[in-house]
Amino acid sequence: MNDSVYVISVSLMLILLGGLTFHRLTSKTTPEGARALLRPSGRLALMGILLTTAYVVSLPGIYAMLEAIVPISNGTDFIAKVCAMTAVAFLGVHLAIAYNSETALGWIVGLRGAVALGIAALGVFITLIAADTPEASPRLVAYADQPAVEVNQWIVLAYTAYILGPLLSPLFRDSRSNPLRFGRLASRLIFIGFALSIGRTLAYPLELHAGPEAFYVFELVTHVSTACVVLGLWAFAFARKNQLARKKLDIDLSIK
Amino acid sequence: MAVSGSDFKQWLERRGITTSASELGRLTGLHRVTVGNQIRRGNVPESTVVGVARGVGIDPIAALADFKEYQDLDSRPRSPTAAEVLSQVHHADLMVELQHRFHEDLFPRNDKVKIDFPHDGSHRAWIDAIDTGDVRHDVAEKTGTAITYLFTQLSENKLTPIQAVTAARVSGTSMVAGLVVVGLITMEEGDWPEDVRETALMVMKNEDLVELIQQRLNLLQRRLRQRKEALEYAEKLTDLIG
Repeated sequence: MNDSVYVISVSLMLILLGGLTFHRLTSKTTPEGARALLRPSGRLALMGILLTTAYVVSLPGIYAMLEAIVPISNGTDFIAKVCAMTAVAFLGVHLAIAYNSETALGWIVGLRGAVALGIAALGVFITLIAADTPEASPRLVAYADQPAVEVNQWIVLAYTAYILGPLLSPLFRDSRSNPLRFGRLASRLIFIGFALSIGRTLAYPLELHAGPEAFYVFELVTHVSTACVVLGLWAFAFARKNQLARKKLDIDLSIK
Repeated sequence: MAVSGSDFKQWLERRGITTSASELGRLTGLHRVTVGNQIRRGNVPESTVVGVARGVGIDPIAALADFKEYQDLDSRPRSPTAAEVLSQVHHADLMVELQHRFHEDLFPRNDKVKIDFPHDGSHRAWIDAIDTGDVRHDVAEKTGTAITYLFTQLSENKLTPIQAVTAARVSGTSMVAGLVVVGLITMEEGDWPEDVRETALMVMKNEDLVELIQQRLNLLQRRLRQRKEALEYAEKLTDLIG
């Protein structure tokens, strides 16, 4: 039952993430296909690719196939987690620049950001090595009761919260003050997604207490959070493509 | 703010008006479910009271004065001051008058003021016209409205009837005029002569006309700047994120 919930939710995420990323890369209008990767807006496409990859390699069939190639047992999980963390970092940079948040930028990019990502990746790797995981298990679910795996999961959640935390304040501000209603909605969606993600990190002791059976329920929170963020980003892309700001925020003098 | 459901029911009974939701709906032009909900939730908008009063042939001002929030509504002369009337003339009409005064042959005077109110900024213009000092803060305090929200309401022409009456109450002007300005009652019901705006405009001194236009243009300039900034911000954000 839990496995089916996981596969269904991961598949839905893949359809959403993969679909929007594919659309972004192959769209005939801006951004211009794969060339978008070379521009600042390419950060989003890159984020989509990384996040989709993280979800794809976590699918049981693909996971088992990759395990045959990867030298370390459950090394695929390490790849998925590094992809996901890098995607979060890209998202963080993207939004920090857009919302002009110096604090968030200071945390995510530069030496501090690189060190944080490096430590998180190293931590995930060390805890994977330290754990006893002989059989392939996506997200290390089969070994969720091992302390090393618990720390492994927590590192990913903590890194995500580290990136998203400083962005909450500018997002909240924009979700209330953006002159465009659609913009407020988009910021609100991203804010909800971030809040859910940070909420899961803070509730991690509760997740540990609930035991491995509750893992999928908490994992659903992450999926909902990702969906909210992706939909929020899509809403901004929609607003840009349709020039909603120009259409809705009229500076015409006519009162006809 | 609106009148309470129980006060509304008592008022209907006192005035011998039916309390049936469908009948009230017929009188006000609202759906009976809407009227029923308003009474049940204990929050009956002033427009419903006015609608019922009109429906049964009662003076809307007398009807509103039956409620404690508006009991002093008719305690002052109803007619507005010239400044209040002029606040409801759009700056485009003010400028037509100015042009006429420059050259009456090239720019004949309009028989009627062309632009009706409420127009963009007319609520704010009315508050400015009656402001004797700190009317905005007084209204915010007495009606329990956050001052920033009141500013937004004024920018968006969303002053409520109780705020309008409170503003008039603190500035000592006609308490009915505000209800005309917010559109709750008609000019006729508020004892505004039909050509009151044209007359006020015609007798206005040149220096007052120019000063008023200047004020309005300053306001228009500020508003345009704000709109432009809002547009630039929204466009920049959608471009950067999307």
